[in-house]
Amino acid sequence: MISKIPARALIYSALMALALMLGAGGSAQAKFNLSQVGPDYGCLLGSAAGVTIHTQLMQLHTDKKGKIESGTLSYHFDFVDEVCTYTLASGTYTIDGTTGTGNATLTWTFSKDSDGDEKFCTASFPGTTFTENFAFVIENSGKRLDLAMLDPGLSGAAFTGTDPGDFFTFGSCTKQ
Amino acid sequence: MNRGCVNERLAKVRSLIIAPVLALAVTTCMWGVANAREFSNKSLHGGYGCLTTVGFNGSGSVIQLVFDGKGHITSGVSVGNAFGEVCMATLDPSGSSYTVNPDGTGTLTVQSKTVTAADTDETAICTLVTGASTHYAIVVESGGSRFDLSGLDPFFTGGGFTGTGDIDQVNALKSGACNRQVGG
Repeated sequence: MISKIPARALIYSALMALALMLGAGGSAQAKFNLSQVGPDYGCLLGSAAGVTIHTQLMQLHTDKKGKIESGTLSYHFDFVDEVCTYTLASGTYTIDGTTGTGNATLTWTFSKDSDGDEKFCTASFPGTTFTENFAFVIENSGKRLDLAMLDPGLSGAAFTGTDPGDFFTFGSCTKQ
Repeated sequence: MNRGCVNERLAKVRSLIIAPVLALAVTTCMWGVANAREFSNKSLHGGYGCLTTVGFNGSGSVIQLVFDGKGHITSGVSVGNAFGEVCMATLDPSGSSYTVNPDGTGTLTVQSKTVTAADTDETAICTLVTGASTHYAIVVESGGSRFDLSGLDPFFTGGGFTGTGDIDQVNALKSGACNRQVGG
């Protein structure tokens, strides 16, 4: 009798371990949530054009709950070799729990120009305040995000009319 | 100290030096063999997130794909942006597949199922790619946690892409990379 109990325990343990392994295998596509995004990222995005229109270098800080709490944007206009700096006014993000894809919305406020000849940043493009909309996908458990601009991609400031904000920007964010 | 004693000590010193060097050589050799990894369809499994762009125009996509490790892609979604016009697509598993060769190279085919336009002025583009397949060459990296991909020719088949020859020149240079969504 005494010797049978450990044998049963061994069998039950083995069966439980097998069940857990099968369960883990069955749910190989992990579920995703807001806490996997953040807290701090460095990002490099740009247009994928032969004649590059712009690049944007960002630092973002999330609360891991759906809010992007702070950030800076250095907007490089490659066609005129000018740089403008923006500060994050507000930001939010969402996550699809099954696919790990989501949307991010970033609203930027002009902070400063580089050497005084970037007046067009506030006068025309992209403006004193503007909002960017991105689709993104989580990679490496949130260590990396790939982003592509949505439609509308830009809103506010110069982006008015019946179909404003058709724009293209792509890139990646890497956890700091 | 006699000569025999000195020789004996020299022999001991030699053995102390030669043995570790030999051990290091054997270990290095084994390490090299251990790293001669063979890849297969099993190398890609689970969810991957991807970014692809076109080198000479303003197009790109964020893609999410789930590989089963057996050559099938079981689900996936994508957001594609072409000059600011955006289509959101789901993948058709029945027309999507991949292969991985022992050297880590392979191919990937992704067929779209439903394609939704972000607003009314991209309806024509989104209709064009509905039901279409995209074809890539791939190379597996980092033991399968990442792969690079580059568009094949033809890149698009099916859907609104009909005819023969170079029916898809605009998209032939689409390239990018995918990273495993969990781990890494």
